[in-house]
Amino acid sequence: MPRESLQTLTEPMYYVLLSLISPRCGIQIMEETKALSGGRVVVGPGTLYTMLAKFEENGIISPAPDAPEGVSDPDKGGAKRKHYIITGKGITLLRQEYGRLARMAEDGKRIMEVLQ
Amino acid sequence: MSREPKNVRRVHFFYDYTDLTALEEYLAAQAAEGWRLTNIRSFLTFERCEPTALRYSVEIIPTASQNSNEINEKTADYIRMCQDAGWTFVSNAGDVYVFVTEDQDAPPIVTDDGEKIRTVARSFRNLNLLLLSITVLNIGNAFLQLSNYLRAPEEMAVMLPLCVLLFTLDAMLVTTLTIRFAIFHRWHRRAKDALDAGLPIPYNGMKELRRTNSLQWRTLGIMTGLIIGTGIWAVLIDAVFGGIIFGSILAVVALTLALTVILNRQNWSTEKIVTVTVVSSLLLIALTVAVVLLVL
Repeated sequence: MPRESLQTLTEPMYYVLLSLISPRCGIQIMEETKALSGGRVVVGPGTLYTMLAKFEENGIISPAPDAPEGVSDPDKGGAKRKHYIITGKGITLLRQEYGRLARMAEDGKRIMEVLQ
Repeated sequence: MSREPKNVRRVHFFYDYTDLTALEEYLAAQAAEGWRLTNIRSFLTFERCEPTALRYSVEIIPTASQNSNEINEKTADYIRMCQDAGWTFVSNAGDVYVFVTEDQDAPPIVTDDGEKIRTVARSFRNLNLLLLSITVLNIGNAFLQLSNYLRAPEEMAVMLPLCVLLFTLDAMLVTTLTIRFAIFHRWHRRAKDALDAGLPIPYNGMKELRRTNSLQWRTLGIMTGLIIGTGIWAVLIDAVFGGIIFGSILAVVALTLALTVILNRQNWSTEKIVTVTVVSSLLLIALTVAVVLLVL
């Protein structure tokens, strides 16, 4: 997973951060990541746990105080699921990554047009 | 009279951190034959069930302790997240955790191969460096006993079998650890190459696991034979002191085995495990001293 500095994001990291624009718990993040990527990116619970810990440690996400209304909390055994939300620092990182990917796509587009 | 079929079965496996995939294969094969895993501490314990197609996932949880089965808060969060994703927690031994699911579509628990290789490497090094440091202490003890013997070889003749035993055991332990490190580093290099090339990570399969288990049992057999053989040699030299020395060694081995099995079954914290181990060792030393004083 992480390139330690978190200057660039792996694909699963990018989608996980996108899903945290709204407060979500683990299973909701996994479902949203899969949905956002059209089923292409699957993040396992163990990998997600490690990723969230790293994000939290770096101030990119933070625990969300309460689950928002309308988002079902999949409590099964009565234990409260921890919810997370992206921080200002995380949004900046996400914007940078989006800009980098957009530039890459734009650069690639010019070459692709020539190839066609 | 027909005998009742056994409903519980216990199997012992020596496994390393690179054997976890082999363990998953083995557990799934057992479930397909009608044996469902219930516990992995000291022994793999199975209970009879209907033959079922189960998927097992054996993971090292980085937030868990290697030396204690206690499930801390962070690890409980990890388990909860796995359970929400369809994986049921079965049992743990140290930082090795077993999960099971009937859902063939449940996502794997770890989907980042690089992260998995790093976790395996960290746990392997931590555990084996601990074993290496214990072996170094044992070598120090062997030299201490040798110096005792060399000071008065005729009076201390009974120490010779002990020195032979300690040096041979240490040589075997050092060889075993060296081979383990060499095999592990070869695996680590191959795993990183496979990761870079986008190929499956070459974890050991059942064939390798069976081969290493057979080797481990043979090594244990040789060690046991060595203890008994040198013990008889010492008793032939001096029945009383030879008996005390090798009686103590047998007591240490028996106590270590018993303690390992007992501690493996508990959910105690590392601090409690250390306390129990230290107290037991002190009791054993006191007992040995008492026996020596009584004989003298």
